[in-house]
Amino acid sequence: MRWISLTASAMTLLLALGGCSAGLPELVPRARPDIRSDEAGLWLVAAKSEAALQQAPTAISDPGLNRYVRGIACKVAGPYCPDIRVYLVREPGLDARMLPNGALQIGSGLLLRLRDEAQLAAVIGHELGHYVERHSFDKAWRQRVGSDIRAWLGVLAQGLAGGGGDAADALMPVRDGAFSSSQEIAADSIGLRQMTAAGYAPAAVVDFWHASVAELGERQSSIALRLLARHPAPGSRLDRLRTAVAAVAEPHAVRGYVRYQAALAPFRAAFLADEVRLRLPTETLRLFERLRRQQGLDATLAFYWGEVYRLRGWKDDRQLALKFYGEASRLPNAPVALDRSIGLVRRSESDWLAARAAFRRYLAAAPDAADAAMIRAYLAEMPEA
Amino acid sequence: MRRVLVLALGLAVGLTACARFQPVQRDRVAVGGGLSVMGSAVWNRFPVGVLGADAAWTQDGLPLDRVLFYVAHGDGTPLFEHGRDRRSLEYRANMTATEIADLWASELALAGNGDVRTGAPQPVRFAGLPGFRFDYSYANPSGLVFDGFVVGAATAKGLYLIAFAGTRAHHFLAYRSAAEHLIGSAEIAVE
Ligand SMILES: [Zn+2]
Repeated sequence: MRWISLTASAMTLLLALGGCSAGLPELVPRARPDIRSDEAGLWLVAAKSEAALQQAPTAISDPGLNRYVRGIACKVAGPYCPDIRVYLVREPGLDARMLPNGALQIGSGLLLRLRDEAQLAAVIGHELGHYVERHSFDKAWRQRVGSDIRAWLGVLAQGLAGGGGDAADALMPVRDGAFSSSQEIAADSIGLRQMTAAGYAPAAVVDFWHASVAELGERQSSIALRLLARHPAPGSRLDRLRTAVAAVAEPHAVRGYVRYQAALAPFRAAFLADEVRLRLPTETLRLFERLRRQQGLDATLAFYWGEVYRLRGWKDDRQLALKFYGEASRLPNAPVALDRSIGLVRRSESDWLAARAAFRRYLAAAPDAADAAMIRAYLAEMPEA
Repeated sequence: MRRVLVLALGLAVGLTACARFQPVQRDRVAVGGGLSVMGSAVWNRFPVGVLGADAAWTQDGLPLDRVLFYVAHGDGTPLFEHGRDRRSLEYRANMTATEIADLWASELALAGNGDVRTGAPQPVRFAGLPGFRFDYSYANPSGLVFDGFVVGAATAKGLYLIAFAGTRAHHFLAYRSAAEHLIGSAEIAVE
């Protein structure tokens, strides 16, 4: 019974989203390209990229987080679960990539930006759509109309021989071009079908793309939002998604907000620090607005908000930094580093009295901090107030 | 963009055809800006700066191990040079070691490196002056992991830094003591 109703919703979705791309036939679960085909060549190159992902120093190895994300990916992928392999990578900015062979790379910056499990399911479902529809191969083929794809794959395959460039470089022409609007529609359709079948609230998909486009703002592109460059989300696509989602309103569908935030909690400060480190203050402030809208302001977010202003250091930034540090200090679980940052701002203002007080609070709270000797040296160097 | 560092190093290697590495003599070597160190024949000096550094020395080649010298960096000058599409970060004369270590980490991240980590800065003497030291590590865009440390001091003439890095697989441990020796011999001439 449940299966019938889900199939019916899936049908509604397909109708609502309208014409699917007349591309290659869908991959069936457990399918592999014919070993003699050009597509097999593309998979071989992808396998080399995947091997690099497995060895990547930026790989997130935490077994709990990996298990959690893989579990959701498997639920969303359904019969394709055995075909999809998830790799979590420590990388700020919004990005996720499905390689043509089913290796799914998910960046920490994406995990940071998601509100809940349903949004993660929406992104995985969409990426799965590109895999099932073989869009990377289709795109590679179309981009090379008029040229010999075999010769081109031959060039890519040189990466397989090792030596020079890594396979990720060899795959760049495949990965970095934008998917076409018909490919996006097809991937949206499959993504919605799969996340709905897995019991997730389809509204999350609209929330996610809408928030990502809002983070981009009026700019054409942002180096922090690479996902949008590859998956363009113009208003027409969002409207289409909204209509499709409205057609399958599912009152019992899951958002998984608390569960998702709990899974991410141990990593959130480090992922926020990665974003701040990029020194793209305008972009990072937009990201923080997004997070505040989604999750509210907690002490960790308020602290890093202050850090963005402290590190930018424009005219009023010290005051703005102190304002956010003040908010962080009034919220539960303020980071210990807060008083060190307040000390640095006060010191840069030559407010020696306040700087001393803040550094002393830091040392009192963390007498064994790795930088305690350095902070004591700052105290010793400061003029008497 | 992610390849700025690789490009810079590739360029540096490519340039060796015309601008050759020169062996360092076993004598006191003036690096610039009043900074001098005791040279040793194990090091080769590259005639032009890389990564915004004023001088670069290496044993096995800049892509594997390197000592970068930054001398008398003034207020408002960038530490590294990035491509045109990326704004460089400025050093400020009133920065603490904590802020300089943050700047260093951001510069490495901006150059396209991943998993950038910096250790807590420690107060040390550098060239007879009160200075600081911190460890760092990163993975370059090709996934090669480097360990290193930075020793420096902010003086009235500007910021002085000597930064050593080598591959975690071999060069860091192999050349670390030579780099320590070099840093320990640093003198800054007072005019
Ligand atoms: Zn897409």
